[in-house]
Amino acid sequence: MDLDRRLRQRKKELVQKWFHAVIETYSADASRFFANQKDPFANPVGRAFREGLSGLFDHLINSEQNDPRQIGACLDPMIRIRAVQNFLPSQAIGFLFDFKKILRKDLGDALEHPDFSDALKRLEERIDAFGLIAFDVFMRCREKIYQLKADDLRERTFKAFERAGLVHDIPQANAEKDHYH
Amino acid sequence: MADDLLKPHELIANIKPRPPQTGWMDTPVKIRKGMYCYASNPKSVAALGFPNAREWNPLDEDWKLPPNWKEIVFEGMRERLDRFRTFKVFMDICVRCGACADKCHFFIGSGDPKNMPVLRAELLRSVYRRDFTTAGKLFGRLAGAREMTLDVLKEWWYYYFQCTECRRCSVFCPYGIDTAEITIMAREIFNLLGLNIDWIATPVANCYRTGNHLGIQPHAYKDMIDFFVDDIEDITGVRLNPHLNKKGADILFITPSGDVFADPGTYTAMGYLMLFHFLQEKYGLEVTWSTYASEGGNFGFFTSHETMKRLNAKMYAEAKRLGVKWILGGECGHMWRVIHQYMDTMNGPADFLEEPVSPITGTKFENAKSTKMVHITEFTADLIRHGKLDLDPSRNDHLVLTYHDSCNPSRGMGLLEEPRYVIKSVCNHFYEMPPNTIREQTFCCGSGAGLNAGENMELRMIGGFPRANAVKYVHETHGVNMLACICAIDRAALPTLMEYWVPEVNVTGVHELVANALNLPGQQERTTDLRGEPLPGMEADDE
Repeated sequence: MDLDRRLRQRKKELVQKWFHAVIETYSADASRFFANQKDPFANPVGRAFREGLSGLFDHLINSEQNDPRQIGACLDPMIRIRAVQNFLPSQAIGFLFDFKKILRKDLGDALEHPDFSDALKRLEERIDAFGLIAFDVFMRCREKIYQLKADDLRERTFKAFERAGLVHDIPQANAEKDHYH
Repeated sequence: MADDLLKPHELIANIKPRPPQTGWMDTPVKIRKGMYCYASNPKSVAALGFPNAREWNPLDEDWKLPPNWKEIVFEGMRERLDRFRTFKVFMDICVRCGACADKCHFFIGSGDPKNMPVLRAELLRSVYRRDFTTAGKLFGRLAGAREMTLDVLKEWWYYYFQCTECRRCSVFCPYGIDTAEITIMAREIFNLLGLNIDWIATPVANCYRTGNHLGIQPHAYKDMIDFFVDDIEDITGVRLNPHLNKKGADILFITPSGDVFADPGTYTAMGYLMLFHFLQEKYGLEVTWSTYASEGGNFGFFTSHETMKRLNAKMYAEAKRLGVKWILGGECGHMWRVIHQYMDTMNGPADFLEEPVSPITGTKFENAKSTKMVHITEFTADLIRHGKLDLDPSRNDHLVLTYHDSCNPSRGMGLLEEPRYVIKSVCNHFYEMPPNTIREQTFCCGSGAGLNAGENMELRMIGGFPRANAVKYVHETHGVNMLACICAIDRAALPTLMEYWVPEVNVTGVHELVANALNLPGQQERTTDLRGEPLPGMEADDE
């Protein structure tokens, strides 16, 4: 039996364990809610991780899948949430690496089998690569937050004033003159 | 977050996030950047005559409180428990059943247990028990009581400014406890200590002095209206002549200043202008705007009952001065909760005004009999129902709409059908979001009750996530590209929320849609909508 087949067979259990590892990073009250409320609109965080981790699992075990954009798109809904929650950057994307531990624990003695250990090494390298993509996604989200903060006033208020001709720019020539003198 | 980066050795020790395992009373508050708003500007605090105006920073250890601050909190609570029966009842009757626990958008998004309405209320209730109940005095912690300390005060401040007073939780409470009222009381107590946030204090001071949140003076207000008139002429070929401060007009129109000064509310303001022009040309109805009562919003509501009363009074003073028959109110959120639930006993009855009747259809607005103020979507829905408007909904065919029930008009005054009726009459493509995210159960934008600042962006994004999640669903399933709402805070907050979660969706007021569809007498062929975007079938002409 190869690792791929075994993982495909155990997908449900593995994704479930991964999901619980993620929601354990929240308080007990929150993780109970994220796990138990099944309505996707009453519990959008739970939904994002349930669907997201399942999709991520498929990308992980599909060795043909090496498109960072598609992998990033799968990670995005989960990272986007954690990028604004109360987490350090390391904590926000750390859940990805939890899967290594879950995997090793699940394989147990089978790890010793040479076929498995080589395949596992390749899979763990993929998890590391996904981690780097997750870092890109995280930074994209954080940069968006900073951009929104910066835009907030300008976009909403300043623009309206500008359109109404209530804002008078300093003419270019004078501005330069002021700058240098 | 990124600005709290740890050193490598600390990072390794913390690499696996473990939430605190301590009980909530033993978990001290940690004020996190991005989750709170800046402290109030002392000038604004002083302008309203509130105590302890000074520079202070929530991140500092020392909040520069008066030495007797504990006594002020105790007296403040005592006075309010005597004065507001609701507050007393809400302190006593909660059985901690947990029905509200998972209904708050801040909890759903953040997972922070102190954002569960029951626990947020418990922050205050625990001190109430210690100071005002026998069981609490005798048994202390066993009875869920705790002493007021500086840490408790900071915890109150952090979490009562993480509540948008949207009242979704109260819909699910079997006892009808209105958590918003508990937040309102907490914020009143903060104002006794000079602990307001600037995004509330400065708009209130501006509104008190100049008439609107931004402190825009009458001539600038008029300039903006003139600018809209020019823009409308470019689009429709019709020159409008709106009334400002006109004595003896039939109706005074009051809307949030956000509609006049901030995109995309400005397009909604253009919509109102076009509707009023149509009604004057067709039916001779005179509607006047006011450069003095130039703010429908009332951030006094987020400060104290007295401040709310002071700001609300100017609207009625202006109606009296101008001698209008009644007041028409624009698309605003909390303005309507103030009018519908507070105005009548606060500044009413407005017996110098007439009971509102539409002069065009003869419809009596029974619900506004005492406040004399009619919501514009009711007014417009009535006009449409009687076939009084000349509409071409195809001019909105480039838009696929959904509708966000703004918290205050929906839960605060039951305005559910009228906006939908108007939208469906002026647009051909409309899809509802899932039932548990709309109407009475609507999810807040995450930025209401004075929290629509820039510095608390993380809080706003996480609080608005349940709303954005439902919008994303209709975007993905029905191709929705426009989110309609009837609140100026929504129009300011939702575009930012959409940009983070569902960037393909824009935000509009309902009367922008009405004006896109409305045929003005003598208009030229319309090629663009109010935003200057080419209308369906007109794309080629635009090039």
